[in-house]
Amino acid sequence: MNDTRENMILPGKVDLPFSYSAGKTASRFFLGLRDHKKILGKRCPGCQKIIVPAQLFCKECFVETDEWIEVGPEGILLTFTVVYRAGKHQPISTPLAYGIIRLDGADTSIIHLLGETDVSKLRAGMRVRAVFSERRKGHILDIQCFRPV
Amino acid sequence: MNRNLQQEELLRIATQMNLEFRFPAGIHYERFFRELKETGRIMGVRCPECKRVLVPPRPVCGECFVRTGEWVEVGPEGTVIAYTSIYFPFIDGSTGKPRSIPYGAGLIQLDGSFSAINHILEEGDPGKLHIGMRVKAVLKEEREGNIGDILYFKTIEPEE
Repeated sequence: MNDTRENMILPGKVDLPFSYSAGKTASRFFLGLRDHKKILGKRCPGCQKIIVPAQLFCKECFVETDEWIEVGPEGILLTFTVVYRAGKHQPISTPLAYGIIRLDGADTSIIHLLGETDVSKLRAGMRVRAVFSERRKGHILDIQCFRPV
Repeated sequence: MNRNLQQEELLRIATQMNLEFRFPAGIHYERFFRELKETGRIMGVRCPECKRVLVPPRPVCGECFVRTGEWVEVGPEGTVIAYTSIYFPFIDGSTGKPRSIPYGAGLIQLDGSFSAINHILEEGDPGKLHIGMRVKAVLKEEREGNIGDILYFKTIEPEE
């Protein structure tokens, strides 16, 4: 009962590799990033809203979206959060910031990394611009981050 | 054929989640692993009521609902009471990855123990595995105090 040794802590690990088919709409969205450095949305024929990232269906109107529209690459930072706790699931080292960005021409917002700035300089309402990665592979991180304009 | 479908490249998004975690061994597993590491002995606990020896050791007897008491050494030899050959491996919690297939695994009732433990068997051939086969624990040279200190159970050839 008087054992003062530290409690034994055992490590555990589970690696889960997976992949999913992006489908025709998201594929074209990612190809837009990879091949043209363009951010694409789709217009809903019901409510006329431009949905970004492009979606096959409008979740408000339950109708298939039709027209492809380029948005951004600039937009407004609606809100953000700063992450201090490091983790392997984070794409970059901490402190890092995630923001919700309303791209110019879009009616919905996307969540992405904020970068090329000090996190203390971030303000809701500021203008930001997409920074594309040098090596793009058809992935949301083909946009490296959004930086303040 | 739809020409659009032919022209558009469809992407597959690959990603990997690596989940790492830590958990406290608790009093009984801690002593079990320490004995394994320091003395190479496999230990169980005896229920004071039903006298069964439980391996791995645990604080309470699941049948009698009383605290277990005396620590006893079991094995290192034992009997296979169930086995399987694995071709679709589950994830090894020490590496995070599946083991290479095929391999044998079984429930081994160590000599002196009532309960059986689940572990890797040296023999993986379903034609050679059988219930009742005698096996012996093979321990690591440099033990670390975890279940991997028992590498596997090797088959003991029956004496002529």
